[in-house]
Amino acid sequence: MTTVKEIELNSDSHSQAATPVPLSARLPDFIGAPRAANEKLRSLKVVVVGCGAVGGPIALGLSRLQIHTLWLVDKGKFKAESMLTHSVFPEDISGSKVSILGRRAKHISPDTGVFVFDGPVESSDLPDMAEADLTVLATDNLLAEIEVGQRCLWLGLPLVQAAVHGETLVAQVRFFANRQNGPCPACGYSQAEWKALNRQTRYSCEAVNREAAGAETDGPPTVSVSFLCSMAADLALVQILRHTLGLGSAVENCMLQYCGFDHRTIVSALKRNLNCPCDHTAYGQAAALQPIADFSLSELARMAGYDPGSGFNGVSFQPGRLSFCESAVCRCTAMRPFRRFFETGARAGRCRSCGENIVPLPFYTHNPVPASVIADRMERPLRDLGAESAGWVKLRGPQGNMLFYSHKTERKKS
Amino acid sequence: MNSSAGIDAQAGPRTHPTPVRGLSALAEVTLGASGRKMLDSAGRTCGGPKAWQNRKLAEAHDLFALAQIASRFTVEFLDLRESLRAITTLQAPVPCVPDAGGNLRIAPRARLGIRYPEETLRLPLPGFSFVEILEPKGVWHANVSAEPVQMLCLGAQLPAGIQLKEIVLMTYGALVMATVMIDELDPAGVLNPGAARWWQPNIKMAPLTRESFLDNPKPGEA
Repeated sequence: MTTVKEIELNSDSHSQAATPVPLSARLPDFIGAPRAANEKLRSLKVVVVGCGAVGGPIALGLSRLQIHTLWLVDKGKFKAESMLTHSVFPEDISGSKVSILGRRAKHISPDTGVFVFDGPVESSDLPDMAEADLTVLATDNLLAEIEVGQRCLWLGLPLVQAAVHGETLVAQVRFFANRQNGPCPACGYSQAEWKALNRQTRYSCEAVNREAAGAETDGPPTVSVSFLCSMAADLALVQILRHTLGLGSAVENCMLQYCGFDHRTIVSALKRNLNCPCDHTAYGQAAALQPIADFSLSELARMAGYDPGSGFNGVSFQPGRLSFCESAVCRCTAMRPFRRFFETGARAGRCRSCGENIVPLPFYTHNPVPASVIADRMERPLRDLGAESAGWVKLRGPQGNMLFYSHKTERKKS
Repeated sequence: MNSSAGIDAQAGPRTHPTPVRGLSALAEVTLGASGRKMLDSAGRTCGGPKAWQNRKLAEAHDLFALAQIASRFTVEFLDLRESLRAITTLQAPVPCVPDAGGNLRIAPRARLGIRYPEETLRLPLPGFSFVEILEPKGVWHANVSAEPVQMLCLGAQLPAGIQLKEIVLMTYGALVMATVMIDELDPAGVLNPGAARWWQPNIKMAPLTRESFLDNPKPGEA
């Protein structure tokens, strides 16, 4: 299982790292900027999803602003073709994008906390993004785009999406505020984009027998030139800076587009599509100082303001990536009560009679689980219900949604 | 706790004030009393964001409308609390494990557990995500995983936003083997390689029926 790793400089690397210089040595006195501009940038926490020809320069640009924390997410490795569009060298080929970029970012700004996730964003944990101030999306993988857009909607996290269209020399940056029921990336999808999403996503039926099916995407590579990619990255950095320091007019829910054919820049508003299939409801957030598995679902529901007297009517729970199963089967019995959480793909135990694996029945498996399904177990700590590995719980209901997660130090321990 | 278990979808009068124009007009079908009652009952606990609630209610309406115009299809159970979950019965020949003499056994119907999750609105999902064959046991089909869990695979992936009625119709086509993948080397479709190999020399037996889903409509309909 892929986990988030912190990039640390060893003693050799330390000697190679730049001698820390104060950001103020080069930071202009921006017109209209707050007095504490320096501090605002130094407290900024950003997730960059997609570390290719556009996301890579954004990550390095952020490290040059000496921000507080930088998370890099990408499952890819540098290829020979990367030399055409990325600032990489022959020795980087076949290396992990996030590891190489993460080390560079750390060298540039040793005081920035740099964390990398070398896998698909769908496999990363929701709370890792919850602690950020802003997310950058720089991928042409539509599945990742939908996933990141959805997570940012839930977390109410501003999302900056940078992209290029090589044939028309267009660099584009979209800024989604994710507040007050605003637009998301999927709101602007045309039929062609939905078709492309369906076409590019692949699953194997073999997965039904062994583990959760991870989607593979096989879309065409982005065809562009390095300077268009870096221009998109630079435009994104300008928008991030303006948003963070409140420079100029608001950049929220706007699309900034530069076209190299006529050197025109167009700024247009992004609109919410009421038929968007993404969930545009936001979640409140609460970080617990103890492992989330210590809590019962009833305690969490009460903390979210739900009344136990109502039987938590309409409330449902999603602890981590776990599912709740009511009934399971093995070779010797037709169906048996199971009634606990389990991780898809993991073993659910063996039958004492026949010695065969116990298999949860998909139809009787809930993800998320309604309170009424688990009513008899609401008072028991999650760890007693098979959910000891859950680092977070998503609760939703008619009076509001809440994301509970263990504080970072607790999650690190688990 | 089931939101609407135990209600017989077939009970009560079958009146159809709206003429039925086929599968494309299911939304226009006025449900009979029993279907309406079952839908209302499940609708009272319909959960999730408003858009997802509305979508579930529309899909569930189509499911009952389908049961109303197709004699081979009935809805036994409906749950709309989170994922749309329904238990349905499909009158259709279902291939089962051959007997000792090597003769294919055919069951007259299948009881299906259908699960329609919220993610399907925005993501393509694997073809085995939706339909579990609860009965009969011992289904002998290349696209149905062997016991104990009999998942039906409807393709490598089903498109984002697919409608429930399409899943039901695809299920019928797959069960009667009008559409079947028997190449056991193709990982996108075959869930039971043993059955796939058995069917390769016996493929002339497919399809198990040439009736369409809507054949034998109920009296006074279509």
